[in-house]
Amino acid sequence: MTIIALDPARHAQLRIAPAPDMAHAARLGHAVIGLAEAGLAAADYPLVLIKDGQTGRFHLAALLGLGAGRNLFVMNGLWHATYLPETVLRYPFFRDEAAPLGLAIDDDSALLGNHGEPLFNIQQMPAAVTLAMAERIDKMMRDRTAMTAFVDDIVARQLVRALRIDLVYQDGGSSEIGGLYGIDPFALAALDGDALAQLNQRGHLAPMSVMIASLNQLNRLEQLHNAQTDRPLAQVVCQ
Amino acid sequence: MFDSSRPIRRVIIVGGGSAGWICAARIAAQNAANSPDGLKVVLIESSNVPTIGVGEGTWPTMRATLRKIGLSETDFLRRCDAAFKQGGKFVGWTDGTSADAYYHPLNAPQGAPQINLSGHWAQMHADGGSEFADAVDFQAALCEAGLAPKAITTPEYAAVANYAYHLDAGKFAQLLQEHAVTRLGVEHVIDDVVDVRRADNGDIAALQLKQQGEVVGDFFVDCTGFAAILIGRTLNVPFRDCSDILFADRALAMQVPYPAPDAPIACHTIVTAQDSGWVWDIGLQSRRGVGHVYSSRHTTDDAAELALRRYIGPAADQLEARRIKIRAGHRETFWRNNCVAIGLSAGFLEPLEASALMLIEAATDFIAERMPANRAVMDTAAAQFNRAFTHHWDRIIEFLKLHYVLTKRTDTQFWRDNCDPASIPDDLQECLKLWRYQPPSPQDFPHQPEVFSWPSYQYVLHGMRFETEYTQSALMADSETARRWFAVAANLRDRTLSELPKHRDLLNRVREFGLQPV
Repeated sequence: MTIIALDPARHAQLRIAPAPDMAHAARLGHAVIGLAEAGLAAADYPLVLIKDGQTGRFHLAALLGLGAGRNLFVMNGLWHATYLPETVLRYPFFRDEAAPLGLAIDDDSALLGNHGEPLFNIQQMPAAVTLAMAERIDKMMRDRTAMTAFVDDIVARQLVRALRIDLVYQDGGSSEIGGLYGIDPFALAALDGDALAQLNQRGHLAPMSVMIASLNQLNRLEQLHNAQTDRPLAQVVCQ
Repeated sequence: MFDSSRPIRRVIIVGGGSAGWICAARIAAQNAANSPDGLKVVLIESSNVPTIGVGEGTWPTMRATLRKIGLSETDFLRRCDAAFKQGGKFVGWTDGTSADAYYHPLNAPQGAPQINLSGHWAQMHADGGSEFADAVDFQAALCEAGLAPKAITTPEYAAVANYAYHLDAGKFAQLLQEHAVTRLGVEHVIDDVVDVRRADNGDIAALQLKQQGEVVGDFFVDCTGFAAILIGRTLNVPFRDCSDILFADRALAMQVPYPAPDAPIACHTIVTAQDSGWVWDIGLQSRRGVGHVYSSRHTTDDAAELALRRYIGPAADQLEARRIKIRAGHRETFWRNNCVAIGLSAGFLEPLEASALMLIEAATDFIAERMPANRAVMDTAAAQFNRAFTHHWDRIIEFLKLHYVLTKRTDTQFWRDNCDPASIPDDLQECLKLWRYQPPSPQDFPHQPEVFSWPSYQYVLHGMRFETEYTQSALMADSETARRWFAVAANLRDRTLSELPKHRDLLNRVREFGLQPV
């Protein structure tokens, strides 16, 4: 991936392919999502908290696979799910405050080239697809800010715990997935009325229930894993 | 009429340095001082007495202490100019040559206590293998590479490699004070103790304060430093001098700025032998703390200052050295009647292994967790405490002396005198005879808990090339297990060297983003 600023002069002729080719996401192990996405994403994925390697801070994320570098939902370039995270749909566009249009692109993306819709009109003004993408990214960034506030709130209230997820294979072997965190249901149940009311007012109560329930989607990951690999799982145990 | 079954309700701590505030915070947190039914904890601090504030190195125990009083590690690191410490690097202690250095890391050897790697290492080392600390563990390599003991994704107080802290003692006392007063319910009184009222049984009944009159208490903690107002001046507990074993009686301290804001920060204490003492070098976030501990019987103050300036180099040219007189030794007993001494009032030893704050924590743990219910049972608690801490002080003195007696240096009187058998405790002499033929092991240290146990002795003995004649046949039974643990150490070294951040990089990230509680 090579992220560069989107430049009306330099990229005047650039077009984006219309086909929903998701090959670029085939190696995503997880996707960071915004707070408003939680309810939708939970229809397909386990929702967990993952630490950013640079800051140590938690992000809300949809788990897409059971190991690094494998998205179990992408097969033959198609993403088989009812909900696709915004961070995937905005690809190959990124936010770049310093760029002329506030946008950057992945220069290596196979989606960008000579085919499809033009990014700019002949006056080198952003075309409809670019404007739509800019708006989509704006909305996504606002939702990320809401997600960060949510995460800060629940961490400060000590409602987050490390998840222990063990993969038990049919051949008898096992391994552990580290670095995943979730809601501590006991800490949540122990909150008093005032704390619950505050969380509810901020819109932070419902997402926690969604996160807890979404862990059942680990079964879905197990099924997808078993359908696609030659080392099938007997069980995914989440504690 | 005095009723000895009356519950202990009021604890009075005198002195507001590190000892006083650690003690106040721990006792208050453990005994619900912030609730109406809890123990009442009062700390009385004179506005006139400056704190000593040279205790800048901790043990890993400090992580548990901070957690127990409910401080966040992020706040602690940010507020106290604190940095991580993974052990000590001892330079020039064995023969004083340029290649003379070894590590005493905070990690125990891999496989301990299931296996004792000393003998297996000695075999490998004789065949040209690596030094002990490098063979049995990975932490010395982290120190040498300037890496941190954890990553920004590691939770607060959790470790990849065992660690303690270097801290600014003045800032630490200030943070503890704020936390203890605002969160833990400690009452802070600024006033001078001018007199002490005694009860018929010799107990301390009350303190007379200059401004605020009499303060009564059930239990008193003397954290008044070298002044020892209660344990010394009031209760007349004698001081047991041990300068016949540990010769250092002076210290010179300097605060040295870094050459650049992004200069590397050492993740260990660097302890460099000098002609008549040694130099400590401690890296905080914003500066280094460097000082020279020396024996005035073996050198002059001026020569000692010259040695310190030579160690620091041109950075010392604009700096003043602070002079501190020290007296190695401790009280004959630490808890008498209803008064216990914690910190410098209990005693002082040269900070070669950063035992000062650790002893404060150990004493405070004992008292906070086992606060006597009433006066009637206090003497039993006091006897237990005194037995335990007499043992701890003796063992620490022996362990510090170990660093000196293993030297091969004969170049100055200081080192020659240190090897005089008359200056070496009998127990240590006996053990050294034993350890020539078998390595230090848990059986040599039956006391629980033991402050310096067999792994520490292994690191120092082998680091200083103590000559051994271990029986080879005794090693054969578990040589395969030993090989596996050496391999574990090597694997962990490769992994941590590639994964852990530079020490300053992690501290910068902690300042910016904080560590997470989980």
